[in-house]
Amino acid sequence: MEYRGQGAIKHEIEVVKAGIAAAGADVDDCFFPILGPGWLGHFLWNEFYTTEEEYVYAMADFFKGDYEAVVDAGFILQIDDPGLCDKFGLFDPPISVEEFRKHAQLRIEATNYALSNIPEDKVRYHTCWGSWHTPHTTDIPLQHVIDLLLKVNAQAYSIEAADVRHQLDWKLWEDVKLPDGKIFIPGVIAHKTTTIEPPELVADRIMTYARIMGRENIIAGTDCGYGNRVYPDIAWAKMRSMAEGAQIASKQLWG
Amino acid sequence: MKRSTDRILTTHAGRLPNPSNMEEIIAARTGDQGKHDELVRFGVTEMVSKQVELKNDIHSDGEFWKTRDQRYYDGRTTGVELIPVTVDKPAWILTNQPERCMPEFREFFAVYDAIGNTPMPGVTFQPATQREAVTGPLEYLGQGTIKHEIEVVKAGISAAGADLEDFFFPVLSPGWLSHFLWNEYYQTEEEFFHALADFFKGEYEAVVEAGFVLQIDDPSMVTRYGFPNPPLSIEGYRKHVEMRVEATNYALTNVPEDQVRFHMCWGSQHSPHTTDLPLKNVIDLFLKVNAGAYSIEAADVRHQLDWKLWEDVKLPDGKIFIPGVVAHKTTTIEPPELVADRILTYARIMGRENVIAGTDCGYGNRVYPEIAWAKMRSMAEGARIASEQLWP
Repeated sequence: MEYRGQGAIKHEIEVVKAGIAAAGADVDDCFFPILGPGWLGHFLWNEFYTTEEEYVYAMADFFKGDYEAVVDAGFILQIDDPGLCDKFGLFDPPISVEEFRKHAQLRIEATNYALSNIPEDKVRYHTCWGSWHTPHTTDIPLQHVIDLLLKVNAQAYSIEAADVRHQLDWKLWEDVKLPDGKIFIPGVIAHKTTTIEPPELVADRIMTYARIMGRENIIAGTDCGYGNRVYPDIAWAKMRSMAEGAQIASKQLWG
Repeated sequence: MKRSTDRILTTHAGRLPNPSNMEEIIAARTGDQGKHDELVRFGVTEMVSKQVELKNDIHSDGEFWKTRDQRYYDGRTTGVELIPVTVDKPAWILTNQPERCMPEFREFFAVYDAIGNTPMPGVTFQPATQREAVTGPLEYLGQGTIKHEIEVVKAGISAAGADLEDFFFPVLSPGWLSHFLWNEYYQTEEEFFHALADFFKGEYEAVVEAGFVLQIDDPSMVTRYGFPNPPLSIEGYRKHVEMRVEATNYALTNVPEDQVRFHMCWGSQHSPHTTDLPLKNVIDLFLKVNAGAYSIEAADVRHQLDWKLWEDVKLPDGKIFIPGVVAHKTTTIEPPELVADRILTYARIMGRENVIAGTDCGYGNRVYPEIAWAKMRSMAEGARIASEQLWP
């Protein structure tokens, strides 16, 4: 793999920026999501590199250019990496948590390598357990990768936290400290139910994280993306409820 | 009625996924009664065995055999006709759900109406072509019918080797039936509900006499809000609910309170539910029903904070509370740890011996069968975890 995407990513960014400008919005308020090397590895089979390390670092080299272009253009870069959590259940035969942690660690080191020229405060990192409307009984508990999550050189961490399988994950953060200066973006609305979370529940979830991490370190987020996962009407209604819930929580947090 | 005396018991709301012979049962409905009954008996045995296998404590027959057709009414009462649906006279009151009129959900409901509540491969939902209407005086003559149905169910339970003491038997409330049964005869709503209550009185008494705990299904206590057009104020709505609760209690006159559990939820539709009436508006009326136990939706996102209300409203002494700890509105399985957390929350507020773990609503035709079973398995495991903490 030899990266030659400078022109392609630059062109795509120009198109997106033109759309943002036409809406009268500010690039400062936009993040630009790109896959993490580990997540691309879910879809891109290696039939060339002889070691996993070579393969993962080749993907990191691929993304290095894309990441830098996004930040150069003034965006916050979001790295999408459900692979940190959802790959655990995909090994056949299954692997131990310890083996999986090694697997995940290699990918995080490669991600950090791809980020070497980017200031941490320009990066947010998103992980979740896969957006499928399935039972999710084999989701790896966050406790097994929480330390690895925090090793990513990002200022902000966005993570699934509203879905039934992860709505008690806040309890882990009472023991694991979010490092100083970091921002946490818990999912406060899920896409795995059509029912709209009421603003009061959104506020309650925000208040829980704010109590543990400090109000200025929390941004309310969604569990995962919405497109092709919920009916459009439902996505918009959930985002409306999130905004109202954030308003209720803010009133309580800033008196 | 069984109580969580030394561990948290589990139960559910009544309707379970269909048994393996459901197609045969449907085909037999209009044919030979004996063959139909034998198929139902077989299905009940299968459902009971499944509940035992899943370590559920308080069972139902699965309710799969119930249907409200002309035969259902003719076997029970005079005065009901099934009439073709017209544009201005729909099959049921839920057509008037306020959310359906909200522009922001128009596209959602177009899809929802096309594919139904749970899009199962091969299952299509035909819109109802007939509506149920009261066109003459209701005179209950169902003593023989309900007795016969109970016998068939009991035979199924006994073939599974289960104990009748562990069973509840769900029957609709007058208010819930009125979601489906239009009044075109009685002059006033009071008369109509009184007649409905007289109809159910016979059914309720037969169920309890047969040794079952009677469950009264009444989502209408909350789901009817917003339906009248123009909508009623909360105060006006509460008066309406009060009248319906009185009708239910009248129907229960001869039934001891500790043989009755009351189930309420906000409708099992996989829809946005933004217009659900908050529980706080009817919590006092809910407790006015003469039941020993209250089963209520509490796991779904719109109602998972309702436990906070019970910190101010005391569950009366001697009563049992059955919060939904698993929802049917998401396919994802609530992990046992979340189930345990929810049980512990209610146990802390109400006392461990007053809480039984339950489901938000019935499962049949609302989730894929495997999902229903997995949720019940998780519920049993969560109750075990909670019990270990509550009875160390």
